[in-house]
Amino acid sequence: MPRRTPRFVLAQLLLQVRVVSAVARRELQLRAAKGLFGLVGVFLEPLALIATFLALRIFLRGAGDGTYINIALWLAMGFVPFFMFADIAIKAIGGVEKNSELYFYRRLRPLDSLMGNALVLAQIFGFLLLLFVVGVSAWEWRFPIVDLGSVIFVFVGIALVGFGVGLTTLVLGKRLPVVAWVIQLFLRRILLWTSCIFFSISIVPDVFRPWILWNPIAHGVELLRMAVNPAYPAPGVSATYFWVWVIASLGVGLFIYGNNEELLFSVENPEAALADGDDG
Amino acid sequence: MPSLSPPQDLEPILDLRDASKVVVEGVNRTFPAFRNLSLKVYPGERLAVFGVNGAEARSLVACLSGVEPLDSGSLDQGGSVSWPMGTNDAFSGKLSGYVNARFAAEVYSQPGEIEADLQLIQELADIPETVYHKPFGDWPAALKDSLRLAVSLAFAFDVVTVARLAGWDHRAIHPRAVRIRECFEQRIDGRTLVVCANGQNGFALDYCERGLALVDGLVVYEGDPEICLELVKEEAKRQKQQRRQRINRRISSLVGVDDPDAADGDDELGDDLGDEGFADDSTSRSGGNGVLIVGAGSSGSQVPGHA
Repeated sequence: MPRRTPRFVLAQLLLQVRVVSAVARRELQLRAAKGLFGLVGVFLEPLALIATFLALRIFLRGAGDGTYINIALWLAMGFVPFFMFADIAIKAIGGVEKNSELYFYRRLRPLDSLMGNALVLAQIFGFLLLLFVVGVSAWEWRFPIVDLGSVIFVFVGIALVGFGVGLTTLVLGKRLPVVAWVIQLFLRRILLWTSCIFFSISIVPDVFRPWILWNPIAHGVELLRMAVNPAYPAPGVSATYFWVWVIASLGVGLFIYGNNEELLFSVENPEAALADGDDG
Repeated sequence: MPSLSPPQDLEPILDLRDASKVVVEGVNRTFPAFRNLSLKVYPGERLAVFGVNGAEARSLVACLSGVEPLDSGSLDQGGSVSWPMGTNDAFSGKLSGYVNARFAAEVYSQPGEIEADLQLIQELADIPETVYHKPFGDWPAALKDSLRLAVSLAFAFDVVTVARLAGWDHRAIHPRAVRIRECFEQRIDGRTLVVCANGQNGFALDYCERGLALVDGLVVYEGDPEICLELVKEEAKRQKQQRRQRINRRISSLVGVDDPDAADGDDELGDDLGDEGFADDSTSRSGGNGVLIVGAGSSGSQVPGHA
């Protein structure tokens, strides 16, 4: 076994970055090849979904006065990170089987493909958020974000929570399939309504606020809006709580994955599979 | 059992312990590719695996390379092991050949050598530029085989495994075949080689000095590859004979001939099974009675011991 010198560790790290980038690029090319509109379609599909929600929200509840943030940007700051989080988590849950052909290259581990998928989703949704920022900038003729650094960090943080939750669910779901099913349902249904996408945390009455603020995505979304305008009211929102969630979900996910990686490669015994088929 | 004496001072680069693997054949049949097999392959060794059934040998090579998991037992790999040369399940039919090759290069090339490796792949595969950037799934089979082989040859591994070499005759003197041979010999120079001999006996005999004969999932001989080949051929002939007799008995029972041997005169039966067709024969013909029986093999032609 090679000695773990700093040079060796750096070389391994660079190799890891190269492999994950390659997986992300392949995933993007595959999505472009499968879709009707090629590479444009990869961005159009989530954009159409978000635009539909935006239109519905504005149609049903009006555009508001936009006191703190332009309404389109305010909504985009909720929809884009939430859908990114949900997509990353759900893709991670089903990602190993979907990408099983990649493990023909033994250098690739399931974690590489999951990281590659998460990276490409973060790139797609990051690009969409950029589109909204550029659009609003052109509309208002000023750059609407006050703290760009915080926006980038919190956005990456939300992606990491999604990755951590997906990784944990993937391994637990391999042992107990019902867990994966419940979490997927939870991600799409419950979290959509408790992540401050359609409403601001400031309009939630004090007694109900704890029912929302357990959700780290609600913190992340409101932190993003606060980064756009520091005057934006977000009572109870805590950056510390959010970052503890980021570190904990990622740490737990990697720990569980590291101890169960072989489980993800396991295949059903063909004889048992055939026997099951006969029974069915 | 005769065996070549392994080098005592070396650690095996492939160490298979008490391994078993069941292979699915057709819709609802399984048979053991190998059973409780322990095998050590040492650095620099060149091993050919001969199987009466091609799937046995291919499965063992795939398991040794790590692309297929074992059902039981363990495998220790003491170095980098190639995927079975000539195959590539990671290629996506939706992506172009170039993108597939580039992905392999990004995963396996040494730092800074991606472009050089891609150039080597294109040179070895000899794919027309117009085809290279089209979806791989739309390519003619011959070009697909060329690219699979070229991508396998582009990277260096400590252990080279070979499954099925389509699109290259190692004895040919065509410039491209010679270039591939040079590249292949460079890749295996001083390294370990494991070859699935079924369907490419000549290649296995030319390159390997140690053989392994698998019959019904068990190693019956380990040593000289030529003896392995003879053993496997003998066993295949014996199994074919048994199968023929079984089919003839069945034909006799169906058409009411009392003496089964009376219908045993068709020497052509089973000769169209292909060069490694010892697994199944779904179409058989009774020449003596002029009766065409389709699917006779599916009910009664299981390879002995594979039930």
